[in-house]
Amino acid sequence: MLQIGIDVERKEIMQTAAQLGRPAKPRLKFSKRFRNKLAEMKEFRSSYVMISPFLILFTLFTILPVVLSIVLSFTYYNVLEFPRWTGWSNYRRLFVDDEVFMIAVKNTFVYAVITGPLSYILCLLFAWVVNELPGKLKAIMTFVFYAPSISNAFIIWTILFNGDMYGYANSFLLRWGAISDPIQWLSTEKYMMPIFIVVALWLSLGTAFLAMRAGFNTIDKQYFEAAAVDGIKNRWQELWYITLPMMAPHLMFSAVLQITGAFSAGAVGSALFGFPSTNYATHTIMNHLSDYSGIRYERGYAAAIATLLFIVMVGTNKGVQRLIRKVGA
Amino acid sequence: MPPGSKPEQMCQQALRTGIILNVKGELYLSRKRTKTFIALILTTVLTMLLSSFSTVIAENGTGTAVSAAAVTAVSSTAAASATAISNGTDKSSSESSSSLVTDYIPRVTKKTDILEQFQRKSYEKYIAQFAGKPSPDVTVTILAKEYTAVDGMDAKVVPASTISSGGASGDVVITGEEGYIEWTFDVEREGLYNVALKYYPIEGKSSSIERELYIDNELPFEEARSVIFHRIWANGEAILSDSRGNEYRPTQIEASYWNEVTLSAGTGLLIESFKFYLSEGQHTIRLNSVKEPMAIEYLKFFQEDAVLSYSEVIRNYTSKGYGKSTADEIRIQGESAVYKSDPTLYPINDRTSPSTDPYHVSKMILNTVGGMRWRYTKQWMIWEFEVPEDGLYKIAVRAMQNFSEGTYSSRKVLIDGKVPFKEVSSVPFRYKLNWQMVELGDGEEPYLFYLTKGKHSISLENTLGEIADVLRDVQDTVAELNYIYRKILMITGAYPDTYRDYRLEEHLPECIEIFTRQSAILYEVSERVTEISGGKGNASAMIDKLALQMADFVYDPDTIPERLDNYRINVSAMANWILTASEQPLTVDYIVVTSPDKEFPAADAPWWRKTLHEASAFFYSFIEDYSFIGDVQDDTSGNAKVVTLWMGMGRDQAQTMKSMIDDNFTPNTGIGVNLRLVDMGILLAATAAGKGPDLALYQGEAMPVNYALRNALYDLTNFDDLDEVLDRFADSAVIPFTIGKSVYAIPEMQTFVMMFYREDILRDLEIDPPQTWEDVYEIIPTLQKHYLDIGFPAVTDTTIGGPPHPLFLSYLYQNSGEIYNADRSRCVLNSSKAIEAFTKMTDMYTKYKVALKMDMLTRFRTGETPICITGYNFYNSLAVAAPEIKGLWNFSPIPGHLQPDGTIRREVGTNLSATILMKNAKNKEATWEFIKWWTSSEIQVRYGREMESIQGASARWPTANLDAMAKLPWPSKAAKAIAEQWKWVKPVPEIPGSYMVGRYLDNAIRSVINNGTNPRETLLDWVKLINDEIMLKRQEFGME
Repeated sequence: MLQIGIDVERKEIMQTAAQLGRPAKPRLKFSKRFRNKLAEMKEFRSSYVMISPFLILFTLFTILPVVLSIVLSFTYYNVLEFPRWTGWSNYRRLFVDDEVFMIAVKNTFVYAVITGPLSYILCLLFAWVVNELPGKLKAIMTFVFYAPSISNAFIIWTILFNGDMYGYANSFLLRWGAISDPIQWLSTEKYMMPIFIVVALWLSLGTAFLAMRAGFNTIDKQYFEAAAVDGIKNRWQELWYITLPMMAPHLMFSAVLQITGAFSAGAVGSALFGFPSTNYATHTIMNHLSDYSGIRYERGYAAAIATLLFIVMVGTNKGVQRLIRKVGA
Repeated sequence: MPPGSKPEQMCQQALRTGIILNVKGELYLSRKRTKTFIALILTTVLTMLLSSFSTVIAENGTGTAVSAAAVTAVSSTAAASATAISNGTDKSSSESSSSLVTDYIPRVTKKTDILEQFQRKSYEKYIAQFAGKPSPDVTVTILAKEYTAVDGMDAKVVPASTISSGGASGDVVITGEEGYIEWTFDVEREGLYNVALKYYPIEGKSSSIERELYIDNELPFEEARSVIFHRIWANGEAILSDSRGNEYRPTQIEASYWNEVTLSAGTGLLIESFKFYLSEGQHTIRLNSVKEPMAIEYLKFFQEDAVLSYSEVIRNYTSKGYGKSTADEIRIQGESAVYKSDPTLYPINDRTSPSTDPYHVSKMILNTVGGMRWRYTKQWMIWEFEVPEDGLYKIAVRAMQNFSEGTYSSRKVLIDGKVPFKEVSSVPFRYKLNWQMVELGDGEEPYLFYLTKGKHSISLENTLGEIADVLRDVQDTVAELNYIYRKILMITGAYPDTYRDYRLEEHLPECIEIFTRQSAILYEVSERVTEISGGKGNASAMIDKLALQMADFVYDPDTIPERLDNYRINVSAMANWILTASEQPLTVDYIVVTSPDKEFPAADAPWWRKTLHEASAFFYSFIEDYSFIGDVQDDTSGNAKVVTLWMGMGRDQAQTMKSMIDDNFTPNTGIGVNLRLVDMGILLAATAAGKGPDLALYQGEAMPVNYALRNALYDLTNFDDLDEVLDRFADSAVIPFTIGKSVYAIPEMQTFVMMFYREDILRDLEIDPPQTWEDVYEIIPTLQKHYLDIGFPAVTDTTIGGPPHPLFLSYLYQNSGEIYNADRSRCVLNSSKAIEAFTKMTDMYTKYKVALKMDMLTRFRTGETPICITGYNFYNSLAVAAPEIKGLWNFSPIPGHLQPDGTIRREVGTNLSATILMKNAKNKEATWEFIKWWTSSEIQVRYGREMESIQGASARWPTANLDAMAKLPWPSKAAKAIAEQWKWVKPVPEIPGSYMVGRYLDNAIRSVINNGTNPRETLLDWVKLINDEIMLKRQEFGME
């Protein structure tokens, strides 16, 4: 019944949209179509004016740089001199010659595959849990979970995993006799990736978490009551059939954030393990990019990396959007 | 609702509500369950987190919560380590011991001279010795020119008139910065005397003059080791403003005059002046130079006048019939101080209150003085003012003390050079967030000061007041507690076995005695601190904690080993407290002298004026551009030569630079300079956009070659006089900035590592400071037997890819190894010499188990690492931050490689920063003029001194200019040591792709140390990758 209700709503919206739009026309000549388009724009000019500030800024600071970066990826560009066209050579080198890039890709995927979904689930879980708490506590817990991501608090992990024998982890283990020499947590490869992931998860309850918290708040109580009448048996069903479908936009927003975040990770790793990390153990694609643009002054090559990363991100986002549409289905 | 029959409707409704109610109830229940569940999980997680953290952080008291498994694990490791240690110690100690437990405990050498150092001859003990002796009212004056001995000193007798006009008469002696000078004199009546000395600071290295004072060839007490004579400074000119209305700091110049001072402790921890006991007959007094020259007219043994109390002074006033003055308010601006003890006490800007005088909402107006820079004891300032008529006046200071919370800053008030009465010898300025009008008074009534018509001076001097005694006690305590910590550590190690009885009270009987005594002392200290600060605060809590802990140690010595770590933290917290507590910062806006019948001006503005001030200041922050320092030169007009300069350091550096440019560079050369303070991160982008500067300062070592390869820098060999300029530096300083024969930057800073060692500990262990690496290998076991360590440069710093590890470089260079081949086209770290150096270096960490990472300053202070190899500027940190080990440490060139002919090679790497000239600079000749001026010895010295005077001795400028280095205020012994090491400095050349050397070398080192891989294989693997990158880069630049 609930499903039907929503469908009715959708239909209505579609109908209104159809009324507003022009009825379908037969195909016309280009000039004619262009003129029609202009006329249409004129009719809706107030809407165009309203989106123009965003559109201008978005074009200038997002679309243009992306396009430029794609162009630059086909050049040799060292910032100080004018770019020189080199064709596909950057990409060839990237895929064939660059071993470190392969390490970076591996690391990024390991990191993204673990932290991306996990942090997303954590966000959802904690948002849900916090939402169940009574009034005041709700606000406090939201802050407690959100706070790590806004501050540079991950620095405390460097104290915890300090390589000195007086670092917390070392001190603890030495005291209990588990180790006899201090462990260099942040420069021994086998510990680095796990620490990176743990810290990332700890930090991950960020904007996505807030968006979901907001999502939980927007759902009208009526739906739950109606659903109860329709035979919802437990909280899980409530979550799956009502809460999550109602939150679809929030879920989507959060997913985009988490995925972009997971793929563009790097800064936290540099702060913890140094840049570049020992033996590239936590070297991500972003790190690789800044290595080439900042240290080696090979911006053309860096642009090629950026372009690749861009494509991967867009692709993953598309995939995830598809998955999310299945929620509640 | 669809139409239907009524009963049907009702029925449905009832049903629905029922269900809903029912469902709601269930939902409610399940919600409640979820909540309880969540709460449960949260609390469990939190408790777990908290408990695990607290075990780590808090003191590990009792081991009650130990699981059985952990116990077995711990005890088995303990047993293992016990056997390991017992195998390692020498067998000689076993003869006296009976049980296995005591077998491996190293015997503690009972050398008492160390202990004596902590029960050193303090002034208190000295004076207590002569408690009953008289203070005869006789003055013995010794003319300085009649000195009887001089050794190692450049002493000259000159007529006073050649030094200054007036102030002194007859001939005087100029004493140099080294050696000693001695006078012989006769005393007619035995007793205690004050000593005064009339001196004139001779121009030297701009730091305070320091002497050691010996009487009859003996240091009478420890405090006489450092007698300080301040230089006298003044504003060089009136405060001027630049073309945009911002005032800039007047230069601080020496304004010396003949000054008679009564000798007292240099640290300010002793309030009263020194008294010396002299028996009847002949004596000698000797001044041993520590630093800086000064001229002396005479020395005088005399009795200082006692300062009267206020009630006595008032009685005098009434008996003389002095009346209250009716004069108007006289306002003395703080920034106009005529004389001051330090060049740091220059006028500063305050914009926190609209009633600060003078005031401007957005411009930099220099309207106050002091602040954090006026925090050290004995710093003083003198103001002059004119009084319109004779009479009694009251005085107040508009001041701000928002620095040290919970305590106060003290100032001694002197009128016309004398403390008028006891009550103002220490005036407290209490903590407050805003400006306050501090009246000199007893809290209710203002004190009255009698001033005659005409000119007077008022002076404020930093004094520690009541807290001085406390700090003195605590300082002795810290020294002794660190000593006993080290002693215990030598027996138990940093991670003692909790289940073993170390029997410290038997092996180290002195520890119980020290703990008992110091605990009592600290309890008393804590009480005094509470009294002084008017309530229990952080400080007294901290002292109490340590006192309690020590009392507990005495009660139950068996717990000492396991609580040692916590004890160490407590002691170092207290050592830091001495530093902060002796700082007495204060900002002064103005001093008001006025008739007792008139009101003082209000301390702060009403709220609405403040709001207006804040709002308009916020508004102006969008208009004022503070990134330009000083005047903006117009470079479009005609042929005026203008240079644009970018600096990436702080505002202090930029302002100093600007004032040097304005009063020295521009007048002499006619070249204007636009100085901008920028974040150097934008240099690359700005250069690419063609908006970059003509030259930039403070560029890192790798930067010049990187830019030069991409055609962004100008080749300095185009200037004919380049060689002259390069002669100012060590040859080593230029190598990283060259490609082939071209030179692309001029060095400004240069640092390198040296070896610091604790003389007291090494003496105690009977080892000499190591000269060669063989010596190091020899002493490591001795140190480690006592659970001490060597502080080697860290290998696990998160910054990776910097210059190669300093220790590796030393090993490599001392053995004639090289990093690159002759034409710098390949990395040759795969040579046998490099592999040997690499193996030796990693062995140090893997086989000799030298700590990989540590906080050197702390461990050097406690003595856990009595030998540290680190940058030579560590000297400054120690000099400033570790007063309790003053005189107990020294530094020297690093250990080296013994040559067949008996000499030792001591090569070290180096770190540099440089000035670069951009290729698209408009006027290259003018820019080059500036570079020459900036790196010249005269300007480097001046810059160094000014920076030091602003930021303190910890910021001593590590100039690359050899001549300038010799002129900076290093004590002469230290300067020699640095010069010696400097001879052995050998840099790493910069080549395309050289960033890979540091990066991959670090990777190789970490692989070997952390993963235990074979050093040789590892190094070879990484060198191959380094060479791949170098090849790639060389191809990029068409060099292959």
